[in-house]
Amino acid sequence: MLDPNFQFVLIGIILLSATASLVGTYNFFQKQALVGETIAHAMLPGVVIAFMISGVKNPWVLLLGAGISGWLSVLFIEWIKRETRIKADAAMAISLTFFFGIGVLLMVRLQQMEVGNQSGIDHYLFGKAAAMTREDGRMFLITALTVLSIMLAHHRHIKLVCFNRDYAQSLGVPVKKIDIYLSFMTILVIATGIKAAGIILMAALVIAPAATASFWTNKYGLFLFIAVAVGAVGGISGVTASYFISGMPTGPWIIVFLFMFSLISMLFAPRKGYIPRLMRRAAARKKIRVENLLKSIYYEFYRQPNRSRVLRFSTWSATERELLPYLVREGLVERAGSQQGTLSHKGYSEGKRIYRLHCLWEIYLWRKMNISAESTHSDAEYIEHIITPEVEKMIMNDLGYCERFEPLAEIHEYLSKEDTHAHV
Amino acid sequence: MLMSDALIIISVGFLVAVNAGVAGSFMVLRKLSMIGDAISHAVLPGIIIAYLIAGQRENFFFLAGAALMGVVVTLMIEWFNKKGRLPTDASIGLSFTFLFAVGIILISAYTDSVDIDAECVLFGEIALVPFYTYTVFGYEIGTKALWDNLFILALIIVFVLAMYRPLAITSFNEEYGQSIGIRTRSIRLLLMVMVSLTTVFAFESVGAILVVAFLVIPPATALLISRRLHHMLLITVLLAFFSAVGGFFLAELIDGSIAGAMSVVSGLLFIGVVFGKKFIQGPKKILSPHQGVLK
Repeated sequence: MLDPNFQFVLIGIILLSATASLVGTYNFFQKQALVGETIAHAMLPGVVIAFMISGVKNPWVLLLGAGISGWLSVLFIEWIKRETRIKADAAMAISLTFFFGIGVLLMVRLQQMEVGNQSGIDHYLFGKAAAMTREDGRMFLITALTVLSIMLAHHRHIKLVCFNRDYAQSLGVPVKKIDIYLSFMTILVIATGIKAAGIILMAALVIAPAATASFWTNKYGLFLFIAVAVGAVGGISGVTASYFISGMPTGPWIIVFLFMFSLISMLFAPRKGYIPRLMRRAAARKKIRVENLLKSIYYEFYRQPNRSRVLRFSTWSATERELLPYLVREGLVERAGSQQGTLSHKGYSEGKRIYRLHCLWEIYLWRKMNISAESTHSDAEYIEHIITPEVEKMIMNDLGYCERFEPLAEIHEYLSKEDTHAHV
Repeated sequence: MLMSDALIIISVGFLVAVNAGVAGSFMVLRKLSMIGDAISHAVLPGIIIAYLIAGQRENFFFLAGAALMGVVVTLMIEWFNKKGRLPTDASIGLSFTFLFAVGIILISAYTDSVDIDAECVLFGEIALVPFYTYTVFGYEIGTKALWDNLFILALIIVFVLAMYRPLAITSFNEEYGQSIGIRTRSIRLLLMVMVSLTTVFAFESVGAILVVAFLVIPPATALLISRRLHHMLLITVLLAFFSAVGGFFLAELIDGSIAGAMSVVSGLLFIGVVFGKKFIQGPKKILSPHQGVLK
């Protein structure tokens, strides 16, 4: 079976990445995803100073150091934003590099000092999941429970602040307090995880699961659930990959998996994914082209007196002929030989429907909006594809027509003559 | 040896800070500071691949190729943002953490063939810079890092001078730039190339992370006390000089990392300027002649 250390690390990482993902969703909603990156870097001096003072590798002392310096970096960002005209992103970058610079400065100093075993410090940069101790595991658990209890206690307020800050404030939610809670949770989870996971992984853990979840749902509860699940699965995959490929660090593999989840979601998520969206757009374009074609056939062949109703495909333009196989397949056009055909009953009523909606909208604009009949046409060209039966009914009511008596076409033709523009 | 080691170290630090500061000024104005951070992380896999191709000896041209990673990460961010409709900050975070992770995995996978450790890429070791020199026909012609960064400086100067007007216009208002026919996207990408070139050649002296300090802090400081772009650039260069010199002596004083000290000094200069400005100007005025709400 698997060796116990592997199981231990696995459970620890799952706990950590699930907690970080949960906290990350709030940073994502607040458009502060990069705060995690800043805080994670800014913890270096705290860790080094804590190590210098205590001289021991007690995880609790180092956690405290990391927490304090993370908190200071957040305050520094706020200070810059308050005192100067410098924008949030530059303020974050300044805080990040300033604190990290102090950390590097002192770290080299620490190496010169040779206070006992220094090797623990560089784990903070890239993380070393395999070196996780019982104490670390306990720390992950406490952090997870703390975050969970804060969240449950302030669930409603946090949700409101994420949804809309100003609205929350107007409802009397203590926004400042919630902000402090959110910063506290972010700092806590990063400070706990940074030794096992490393700076960059903590930054990624705060961002990627939330980003992945955002492609799948708009519902708050589901969003949190997906983010946590993605974080946990990413953790499992990364730990497993690095376990089976020897000499591989855990953190980077977790990042790679999390990124892949985000990428796949971005491309293929059914509602918000890129490719489904492109396909929907293409389908909508085709629908419009088909409807336009049917409408003009209806107008040319059925509304004009004494016209033969045989369609001659050879007179069609190339783009119209492209649609022909589709029209035949959908039963809108019936073929008679290779070059001729007629509109089927379905095609006829579809063309009539579009034409009707076009007329309806033109009349509506003309009557109700006092728009000159001339300029109603181009607007109707768009809207005729969009009007649903419900909207149609409302417009009919507004115009005072009932379903049985609808002199639309007649009025429309009168309108056309009035303005001497004779097109659909 | 032509110069003493201390002088070489200070000059390399100064050159890196100037390169980063000039390129970074435009990043700060465009509110792209965190993209600078992203680029500095993202060039890591590029550097590793350059090492893998060029073998043990690093090669200027392969390293310059690594600067393409700056463009790659920029395009990735743009793609996530535009096509994926992800917020900008999340797009940035997603892209650079991934590329950085790929870099670390490459390092771990090729430990035998790459003579490079991740810590070195991140922090650099400016103290070792004087030991690497270029040799032409058997003659030592000087420190390698000095020549490399001088070359980058020349590139940046040419870039900025040749495109000063479009660069300036698009940095302040990209839409306006577009409306008067400037190819804003090309200019933005060129700027990213400059930033990543700077980062790539800074990594062996100050490291990939601390170069961000030089990208952001001196330009942001200069922004506080200047109202014209060329003043901002000149002040940035001045600040770069003080950071390099001050950092060197601070590091000597407490026996710490020189690169770290240089970024700490630039941060202290920033804090000093904020306080100094407050002291001189007094409390914020709504009716101030230049920065007030009412002009």
